[in-house]
Amino acid sequence: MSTSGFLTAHQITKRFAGADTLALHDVNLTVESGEFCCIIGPSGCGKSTFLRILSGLAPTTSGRVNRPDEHKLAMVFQNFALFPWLTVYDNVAFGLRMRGVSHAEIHERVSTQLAQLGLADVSQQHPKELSGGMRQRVGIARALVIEPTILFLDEPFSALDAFTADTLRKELLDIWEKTHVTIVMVTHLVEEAVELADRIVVFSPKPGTIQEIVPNHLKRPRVKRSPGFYKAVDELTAQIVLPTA
Amino acid sequence: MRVPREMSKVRYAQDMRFATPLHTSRRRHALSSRTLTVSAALGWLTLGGIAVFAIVQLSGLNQGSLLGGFLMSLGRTSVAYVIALVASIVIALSITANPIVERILLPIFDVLQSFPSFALFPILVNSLQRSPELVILVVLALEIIWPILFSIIGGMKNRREELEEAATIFGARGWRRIWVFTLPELLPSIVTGSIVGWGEGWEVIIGAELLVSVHQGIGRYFGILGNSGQSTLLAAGIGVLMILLFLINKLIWLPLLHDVSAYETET
Repeated sequence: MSTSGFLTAHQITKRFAGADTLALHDVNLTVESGEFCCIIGPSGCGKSTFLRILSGLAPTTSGRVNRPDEHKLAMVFQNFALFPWLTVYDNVAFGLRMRGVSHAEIHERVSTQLAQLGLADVSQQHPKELSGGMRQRVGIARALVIEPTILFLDEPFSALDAFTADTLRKELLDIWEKTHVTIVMVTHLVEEAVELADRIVVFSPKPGTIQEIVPNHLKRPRVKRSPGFYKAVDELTAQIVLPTA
Repeated sequence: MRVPREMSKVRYAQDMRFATPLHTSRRRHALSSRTLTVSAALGWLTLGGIAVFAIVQLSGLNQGSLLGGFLMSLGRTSVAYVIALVASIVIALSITANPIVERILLPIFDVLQSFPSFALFPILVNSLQRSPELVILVVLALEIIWPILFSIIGGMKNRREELEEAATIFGARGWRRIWVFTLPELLPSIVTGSIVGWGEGWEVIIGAELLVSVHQGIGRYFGILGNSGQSTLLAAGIGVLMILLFLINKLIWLPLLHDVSAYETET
């Protein structure tokens, strides 16, 4: 395995305390700078655990992760993980405040980010007052405002309705095409992975391990109703191993 | 055109002020809601004041002894509450940071919290003979601390993992994490525990002031009335105390409980 990548995971093994089986076994992955990488697999295959190990949120049992500047990592969460006591503005500003950025710069960057994601009018509202789609926009704004070198996304659209999820997927693609931030995203939707990713990492369960890494050669912008798209989805779906009882 | 330096500062300040604009209708709604809250508070204060005045006038209670005693007891309960609150937060954060310490200390605390603080009275009175105020504070703090401590520990057990992870990945660490993340997250538990602890504190202070010879206090005043057989005055005094405690609940604790409900996380 190459270790020259932007983000590398080398022989990652994870066993949760008190568990008989391994959650992850000998997982190796290299993600290049500016790449959009999706991790797919059935529920319980360890893909979210692997994402947390990659981002430094969870420790490994063995193996190591090499990642760039720890202060420039950001994550978008499945259930938004917004701080309910803070307004939209303060949620987005949170990461910058923790990094000691000046007030003037925070104001400028947060205002720009809120405007870009259509959140300027709700900046003084609390997360409770927003719809799911708007909350996830806040989650994305909070992550992007720190100008991350790697953006981790853990099933970011799975708690949203289909229409909102589709809109946000397009916005995420726009952001990625403009910024070329490195993205590692976990999803359980094959169509989503085929629509977004440069490479698709297929996980298999018990223990969680990489079954295959599939390069996605479909040209962008990808048309979801094209024969090539359907073919890619079908081929990938056939590779996913469902866990046995 | 070149903008003067001071002018640009003013413009910047204005920008900051309106950086996060409220819709006019939202601002108006917020203002009318605040006006209603203040009006309701003033209404309760007026009603409570009239009721207390009427009881005092009709019963012939000594205003100085009653209100002076109440303020003295309020001061003691407040000091004990602050001590119990700080101690609860420190203990809860310390023990939940280490699973082994938590496994050892939680059962011990569980036994201790069922132990009546009045049972310590003889020991405290003997060991702190020269400081009756200190005896009352210790007994009060020992009574108030448990509901707050267990409420905070309960709150820590129910914390959402994703929120913890968000705080971590966005850089909240050390003391700053406690201030900007942990305490706001725990505020609903702190307020809930405080309401119970505060109520228990008032139960204890009446008894404590009866048992320890303090110069002034509502318990001391009730003791004097009871010992001299002035049952009507005693009943009137208890009525006044109930009204005053009701007002504290209505004007401080309940609004606080309402405000921190916005801090609660949705699952």
